[in-house]
This record gives sequence, C-alpha cells and structure tokens, in this order.
Amino acid sequence: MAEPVAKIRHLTKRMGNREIVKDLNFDIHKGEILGFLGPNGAGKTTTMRMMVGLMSISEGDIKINGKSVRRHKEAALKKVGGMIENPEMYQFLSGFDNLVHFQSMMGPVNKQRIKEVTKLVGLEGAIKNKVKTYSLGMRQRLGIAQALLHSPDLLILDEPTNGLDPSGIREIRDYLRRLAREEDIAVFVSSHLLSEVELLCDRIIIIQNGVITDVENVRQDNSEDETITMALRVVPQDKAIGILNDLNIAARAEDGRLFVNIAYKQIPKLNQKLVEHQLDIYAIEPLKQSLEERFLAKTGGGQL
Amino acid sequence: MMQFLRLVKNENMKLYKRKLLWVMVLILAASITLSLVITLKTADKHPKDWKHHLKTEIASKEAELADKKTPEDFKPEIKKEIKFDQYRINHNIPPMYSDTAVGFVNETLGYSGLITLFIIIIASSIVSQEYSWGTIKLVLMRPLKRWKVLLAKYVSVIFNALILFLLLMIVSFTVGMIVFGIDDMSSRFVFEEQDKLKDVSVFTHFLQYFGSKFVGLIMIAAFAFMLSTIFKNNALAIALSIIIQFAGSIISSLLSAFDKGFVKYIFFTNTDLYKYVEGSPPAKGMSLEFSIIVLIIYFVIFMGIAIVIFEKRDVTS
Ligand SMILES: Nc1ncnc2c1ncn2[C@@H]1O[C@H](COP(=O)(O)OP(=O)(O)O)[C@@H](O)[C@H]1O
Ligand SMILES: [Mg+2]
Repeated sequence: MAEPVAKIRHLTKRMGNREIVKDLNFDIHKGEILGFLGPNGAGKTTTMRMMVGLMSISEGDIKINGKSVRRHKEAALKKVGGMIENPEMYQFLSGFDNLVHFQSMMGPVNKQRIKEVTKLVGLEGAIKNKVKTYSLGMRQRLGIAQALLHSPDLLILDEPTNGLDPSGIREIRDYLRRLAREEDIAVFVSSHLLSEVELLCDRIIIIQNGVITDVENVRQDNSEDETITMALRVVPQDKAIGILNDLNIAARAEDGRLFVNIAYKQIPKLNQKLVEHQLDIYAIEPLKQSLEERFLAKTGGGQL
Repeated sequence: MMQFLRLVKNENMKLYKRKLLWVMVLILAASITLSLVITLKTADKHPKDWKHHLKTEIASKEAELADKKTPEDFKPEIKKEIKFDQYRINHNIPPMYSDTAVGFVNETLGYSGLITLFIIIIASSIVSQEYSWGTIKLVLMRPLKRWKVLLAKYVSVIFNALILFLLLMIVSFTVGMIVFGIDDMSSRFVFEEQDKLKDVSVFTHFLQYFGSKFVGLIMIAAFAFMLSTIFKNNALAIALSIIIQFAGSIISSLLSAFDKGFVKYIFFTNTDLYKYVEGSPPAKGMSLEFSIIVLIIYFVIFMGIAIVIFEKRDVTS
C-alpha cells in the first residue's frame, strides 16, 4: 500500500488536567473517504483542530506528507484544506471575495482555480452575491470550495452535513465522492450521525470519550469462504425448507422470508437447486447487517 | 514579502467592504465642512494692510494692559499676543488668517484627534472581530506563520491612518484654496519655544504637527491592538485606549505635580511629541530623544506581547 497522506500517532490533547483526546493512532490514505464517528463531545473537533494547526498538540504527532505538524506546521499544512465546525465566512464579502481572501493567504490569486472550485461545488450562480444572502447549504459548499482552493492532498471536514436537509447531504456526498475518486485526495470527515458516515465513507473510525474504540471497513468485498446471511422469498416455503435441509443448510422462517447462513460461494448452487425444483423465486438477497447493528453489538447497545 | 503585501491587501479589502471606515470618512468630511461654515460665518474678512492692522491691534492691547479694570489673570496672555504681533511686524510675517487656504488647514489640524479616535476603534476590533465572526479558524489554518497575519493587520491599520491624515490635509487645503484663493497666504508659522519666538515655513509646521500626532497614533494603536489581541474583546480595548489617549496628558501632569521620578517613563507621558515643538516637556529630565527611545521600547513590548499570545493560543470555538 502506498504511503499514507496522514499519519496520526499517539495524538493526545490535554486541557487543564483533562485529557480530551487520548493516544489516537490512525492513517489516512489517498483516494479514501475516512469517517470520524462519535457522539457530541467525543473529541472529533479537537482532533481536527490539532490536525489543521489551530490547537497545540499535547503529546504525539501528526505527519502530513511526511512533515510534522508539531515541528514544521507551515510545511505540513501546505497541502491541507479544512473546514472546522460551522462554515463561518465574511458575511459582508461576496463568495468570490471570500475565496480571493483565502487564496491570497497562500499564494497569488488564481481566478481560474476559483472558477474551478466554484463550479465543483455548484455555486456559479451565487458566487458574486454577499455571503449574508446564502443559505446554510450554500455556506457549507463555499466552505468546501475554500478548502479546495490550493488543491490539497488532505481535506478535513468537521460535520460538513450538519444542519443540511437530505438533498443537501446527498449533494455534499456526491462532491466528496468525486473528489476522492477523481482527484485522488484523502478526505477525513467527522459526523455524529452513523447513517450519514455509513453512506459516505469507505472506512470509519469510531471515537468515544477521546479514545478510538473501533475501526470499520464499510465497503467490504465478501470473500469466497465467508459465511453470510441470505434472505429468500420463495413459494412454497415448506418445500424450500425441505430442499435446504437436504443440502444441510439450516433455515429459519420469519415474516414470510427464509433466512439462511451459507458460504458466499454456495449461493449459485442454492439458486440452482431451487430452480431445479421449480419453486417460484421472488428474491435472494444478502441480509446486510448495518454498521449500526454491528456497532451496537460491539458496544453492547451503548448510546451513540 | 509579496505574501505579506497580499495579507495587508486582504485586511484593506475587509475594511473597505464594510461601512465603518466610510462612516468615519463621512464624519471627517462633515467636520471639515462645519469648520468651513463657521469660518465663513464668524471670521471677519482679513485686512488688506496687515501691518497697519497689527499696529492698531497692539495699540488697543496696550491700552487694555494699562486699564485698571483688566483682571491681572488676563495680562500674561495679552502680553504674549503683543509679543507675537510685534514679531510678525519685525520679521514681515503676515498672521495666519483663518479665511486663507493655509489658515484653513491650520484650523482643521485638530481633527487629527478625531482620526486617532477612529483608528483606536479600528485597531481595537481588527483582531477581536475575527474571533466574533468565527473566521479566525479559516485564517489560522493556512500554511503561514501566525505573526505575519497579526503584523499585516497592524500594518493595515497604520496604512489607513496615514491615508486619513493625508486625506484631511489634502481636502482641507483644496477646500481652502477653492473658497479663499491662494493669494494672501502666510508662508511662515510663528510659535513659542521655551519663551522664545521662532518661525518655520507652514509646510514644516504641518509636517511637524502631523508627524508628531502620527507617532502618538502609532503608539496608541499598538496599545489598542495588543489589548484586543489579548482579550479578544474590542469594547475593553476601545475604552482603555480612549481613556489613555484623551486623559493621559491630564493624568501625567497630575502625577508630575508630585514630582515622582517614574512619571517620565510612563507610556502616555511620552506620546505627544508635539510638546517638544510648541510648549514644554511634561516632566523634568525629558527630551525628544528620551521620549523616542521610551516609545520604541513600549512599542516593542506591546507588539511582542500581542505576537507571543497570538502565536501560542489555541483557537477554540
Ligand atoms: N476550550 C475548551 N476547554 C475545555 N474543554 C473543552 C474545550 N473545548 C472542548 N472541550 C471539551 O472537549 C470535549 C471534546 O469536544 P469536541 O472535540 O468539540 O467534541 P466533538 O467535536 O466530538 O463533539 C468536550 O467534552 C468538550 O467539553
Ligand atoms: Mg464537534
């Protein structure tokens, strides 16, 4: 695997005598969308603040493209774009002037690039208007545009979908997907909503009380030998149970469906048998255990 | 260097795209207009033969001195006026009548105090407002040193102070020229320096006046800027700076009455360098060089504290 864009090692933040974030260790890779999931107050924002140089690091370090945020902040942050908490922009400036402002902090103004990012987040129509006329969704998008100005390798977004309606969330999701795939950048997104991260991310880190409690792959490819649960909608059901029993597959009927635990590679065979016996097959589908179920199983039903 | 200039340009953009500065410019313009109206209404047309006029003035003032009804308290002032009039006649320097272009500029010099007040307000909010707007996060997550961002803000404040000073001078001179014409211009300014009368060209005078006021402004702006950076609160910075700016000289003269040695080292005892041109030093043992050194030390302290705190501080919420 290629060298990660960001390496977080033993990252700790103390405030007073309280440890807000404790010994975090993880990597962020090119082209991936990494979710950072945890309840309010878990330490997501604090972690991200340290990653973009807004807060000092109490212990440990963050390396971005091999450069230490702790020791060479300016060099490490060269290729980092971010938005922490709310997308607060200068209300009295136009969206365009806001972008000019932040771009010129990093290098000469490049109108072409401003156009590109404006288009990417779909703000072409409103970019000359004052930010105070923008809706929350437009501000979020301007926030993302601002973070993309200098073509970062790592994009850090703190709850970018907070306060958005479902269609707004969908839009943001689409941009981020496209960014990760097409521009091959690493995206690190936090959220306190499981459903949201699950839809958006490739991998999820779960943080609770400042500690990483779990790392999950969301898009897992089933390996041949893995056993999965399949739900069958077959008529008549009792005949199907008989056939399954002949195959040594235990089946359980529930809500008009049959649930079976079988090896992934056995699925075509099962299908074949059912067809042979001329059963009416309405559906054979994997019962996807949602992250939520897995998460609840792991934490014993702990509140997220 | 280019990067730093871009930072200053950013600060200017944020200032020019808001109303605050324009309201200040408007107030300044209104004040100049008011001065003009007052001058037109009240000032008598200045006399054609100024020497003759001054001679009659001296005669009537001497009569006043001789008059028993004139209170003793008024006499030193009248004597001083006679001295000035006599000096003008001897050195062939016409008085600076306020209904002349130069005289009008001289009338409006005092508005530099108004500019100082405006600049205190701007310097007090230029850092704290980024916190209250929440934009400080986006500003400080850039790959550049925080002290550069801070210094660019201060430089922008001083740059705009300079613009306002120039504006005041140019506008009142232009208005003065248009309304009063450029004939009858007094070209020299007469002033008293430690009981001796001297004269300089009016431009030297304006330069000395604005120069010394500008130094004071640089200092009080640095003070306000430091407070605003430390406390992230503009109200406190504005209040403290205004008190020091406008009550500072009273406080220091009260303190120097007690003849304490430390008074001359106080920041606001030294801010008004114009005292070294006209008037007298606020405390014993002070000189122009002394004040400049004290001011430089204070400046470094103010900016140093602001930078160290700004560099170290975690940006939360
Ligand atoms: N400035 C601060 N001083 C002390 N504690 C803080 C400060 N900011 C946040 N915290 C605490 O740190 C914890 C983590 O906060 P935060 O990182 O904002 O969580 P999240 O973003 O996951 O909701 C919270 O318990 C919060 O109370
Ligand atoms: Mg948060």
